[in-house]
Amino acid sequence: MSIQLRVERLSKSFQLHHRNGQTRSVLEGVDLVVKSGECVVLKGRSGLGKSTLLKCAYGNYLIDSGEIWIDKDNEQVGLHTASHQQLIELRRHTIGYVGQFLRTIPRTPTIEVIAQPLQKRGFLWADALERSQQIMARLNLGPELWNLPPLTFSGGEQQRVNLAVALASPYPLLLLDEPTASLDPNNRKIVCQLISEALQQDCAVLAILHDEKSVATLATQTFDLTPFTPRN
Amino acid sequence: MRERSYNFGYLDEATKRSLRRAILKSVAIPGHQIPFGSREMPIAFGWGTGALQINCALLGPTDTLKVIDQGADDTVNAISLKKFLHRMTGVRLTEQTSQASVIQTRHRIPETPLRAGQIMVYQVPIPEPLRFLEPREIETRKLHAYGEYGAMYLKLYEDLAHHGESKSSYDHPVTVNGYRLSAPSPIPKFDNPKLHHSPALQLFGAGREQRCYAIPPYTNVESLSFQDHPFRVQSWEQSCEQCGSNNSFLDELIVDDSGKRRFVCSDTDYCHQQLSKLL
Amino acid sequence: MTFGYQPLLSTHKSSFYYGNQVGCHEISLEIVSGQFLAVVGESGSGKSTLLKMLAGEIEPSSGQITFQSDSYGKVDLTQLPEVRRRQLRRKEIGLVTQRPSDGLRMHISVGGNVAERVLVNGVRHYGQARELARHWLQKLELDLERMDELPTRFSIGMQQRVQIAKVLASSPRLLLLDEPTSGLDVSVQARLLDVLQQIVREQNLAVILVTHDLAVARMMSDSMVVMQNGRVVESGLTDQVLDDPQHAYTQLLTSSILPA
Repeated sequence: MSIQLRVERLSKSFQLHHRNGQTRSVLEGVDLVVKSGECVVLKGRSGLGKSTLLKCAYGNYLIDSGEIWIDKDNEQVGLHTASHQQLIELRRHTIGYVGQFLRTIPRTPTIEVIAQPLQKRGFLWADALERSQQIMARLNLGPELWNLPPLTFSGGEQQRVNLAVALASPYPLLLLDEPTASLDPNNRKIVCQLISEALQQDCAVLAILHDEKSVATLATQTFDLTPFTPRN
Repeated sequence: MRERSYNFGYLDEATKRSLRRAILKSVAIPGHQIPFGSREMPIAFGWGTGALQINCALLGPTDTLKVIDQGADDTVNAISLKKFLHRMTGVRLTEQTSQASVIQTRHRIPETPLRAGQIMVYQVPIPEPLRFLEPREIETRKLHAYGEYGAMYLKLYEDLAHHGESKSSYDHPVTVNGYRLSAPSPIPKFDNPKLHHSPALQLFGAGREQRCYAIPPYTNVESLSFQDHPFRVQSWEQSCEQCGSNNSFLDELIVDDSGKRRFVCSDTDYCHQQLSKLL
Repeated sequence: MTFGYQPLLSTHKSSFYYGNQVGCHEISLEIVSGQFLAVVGESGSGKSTLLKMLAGEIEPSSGQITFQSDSYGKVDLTQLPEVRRRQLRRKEIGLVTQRPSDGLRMHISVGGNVAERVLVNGVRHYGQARELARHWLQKLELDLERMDELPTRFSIGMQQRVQIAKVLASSPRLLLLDEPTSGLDVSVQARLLDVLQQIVREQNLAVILVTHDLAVARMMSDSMVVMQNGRVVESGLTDQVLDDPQHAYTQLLTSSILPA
C-alpha cells in the first residue's frame, strides 16, 4: 500500500503578538504515516492538538518546522513548501477535509454547495449535480432540502452537508475532524458505512473520532499524540 | 452706413487676425474644435457671440449678409444681430438665401440649396458632442484622439429606448470627413443631410466655450446611426398652409385659445419664394 | 510535480506614491482565472490605491503589472501604450467601484448603462446591444420592466448590481471589486455575493475583491493579502491567513471580528 500522507518531525506553535508576544507550543516532533486504505484515528485528551495536526495537514495552519508530504498522482508534494496555487490544487483534487463548521454563502442552495467543488475538479455541472444528489440521498438529506441554503439547517444536517462535500469527491486523502459528533446513531452508522466504502477504494483517512463504536468500525490504527505534546 | 467710431468689423485688427488663423486651422482639420480667444461682445453669451465674432473677422465690404433665427429672418434676435453687423461693417443685407455671401444661422439650414462660394456661420452653444457623456475636457480630447466614439451611440440608444424611432431630434451627432465626431449645432435632424457634400463652407462658432470648427465644401458628413435603425429624417402629413410646400421643415403653431394648429414653413425666405411662384 | 497554471495578472514590486506619501509599496501578488483574491486591511491601508493601479486608473511609480490579455497576449500594463490600456479597461478588465454612482451614468437609463459597455466595444446594432443589456440585467436579477428607468430611481443595492451587470457585459477576464457590498444590508449583500460567485464560476473570471469585511472575504475568496500602511504584511490561502495569522496586524484584525 502506498503512503498517502507522511508527517515528519512536525512542530507547531502559536505566537500571540497581542499577549506580550508569548508563544504557545502545541505539537513537537510528530512523525506519522497514513497509507491508502488505512484509517488512522488520533488519540489523546482534548486540547492536545489533534485538530491542530489535521489543520496542518490541510494547509490551514502553517507549521514551524518539519515536513508534510502528500502523494498526488504518485508524486510527493511537500505541503510545507507548496505555493498557494499548489495548495489550492491539492485541496481541489487530493485532500478532503471535514471540519466542525460549515461556512457557505448565505443564499447558495445545498446542492450547489456540494456540486461546486466537483465542478472545480472537472465534473460537468450536470454530472456534479447528479453525484451530489446521490450522496445527499445516502446521507438522508432529502430532496426537500436540496434547494435550501444549508445555513437554515440543524446542526446534524449541516454536519452531513459538510460530509457530503468531502465524500462526493474521490479524494485520495480524507481528514475528518469528529465527523460523527452531532449525528444520531442511525446517521452515524450511515457515515461510518460511507467512510468504509472510501477506505475500500483505497482512500487514506486521518480522523478524530470520539465514539468508541465508530473507532471500532473504522480504525485500522490509532495514534496517540500525547508523546508529541510539550510537557509544561 | 458703417459706424466710423469703431474699427471695421467691431474687433481690432489683431483679434480679427487671430480669429482668421483659428478659422483657417479649423478648415484644415475638418470637424476638429479649435480654441480661440473669445472676446466680450455687446451681446450676452448664448445669443450668438461665437458666430458673431467669426462674422466680424470674416466680413468684407463687398459681402452680402443674411441672418436667420430658427429659419426666420424677421425675429428680434436675427434683426438685432443683422443691424449690429451692418453698423460695424456697412455690408449689404438680404433675406434671400441665394443673394447672400454669408449666412449667420441659429438652429436651421435654409431650404434653398447653398452654392459654392457661400459661407454658413452657425451659432453653437456646446461644441463638444461628447460633453453630455464626459465633463472632463482632458478626457474628451483623449476620446477624440483615440477615436473612442462608441459611447456616443448611447445618445442614440437612449432616444430609441425612450421614444422609439425618433425622427425629430436636434443636434444629432455626425462624423466629419470619415473620422471626427462633431456636433452640427442644434439644427433639426431634418437638416443633417444638407451638411453632407455642401458646396458652401460651413463654420461653427461657440463664444462661451471659445471654440470654432468647420466643415469645408464637399466634405463627407455622416449622421450617426445603428445598423438596424438607419438614419431617417422626419416628414409631415401636412403641407405649409401658406405656400403649400410639402418638402420643407414645418413649424407647428397654435393659433388660438381653442388649440387650433397651423403648419407653416420654418424658413420664411423659402416660404415667400414659393408664394411668389404661385402668384 | 508540475502545476500547470498561468496567472491572469501578476504584479511585481508595484508601488504608487502620492508625492512623498506611500499609496502602496512594492506589492507583489498574482491572481488565477476562476479564483477570488481578497485584499483586506483598514481604510487608508492602500487597498483602493492598489485596485486603481490594477485598473489602470493611476500609473504605478515603479514595478510591473503583467496581464494575460485576450487581444494582446502577455503584456506589462505599465509599458502598454495608453490607447491599448484604455482598450483593456473597456473590455477585459472591469472595475466595480464602491459607490455605484461613480461607475454608472446617473442620467442614462439602467439599460443604457449596461449597453454602453457593449457599444464602446464596437457593437453598432441597437437590437443586439439591448439584448445583451437585457441578458446581463437578468443575470443580476434586476427587473427588466424597469430597464429604461434612471438608476437614481433604484436602491443602492440594485444600483450596485446594475454596475456589475455593466462591467460584465463586455465579458471581462478580470473583475476588480472595491468594497462592492459595503453599505448594503445583510440580505441584499448575501444575494449579491451569491450571484457574483455564480457568474465568476460560469465565466471563469479572476476576481480581486477589496474589502474590510473579513466574513465576506472568508466566504468568497481563495486567497488573501493583508495590507497595512501601503504594504502587504501577510498573504496566503484565505482560511490559513484567518485561522493561523502570523503577523501582529493580521492577528489584531482577526481577533477584532465577531464570530460569523
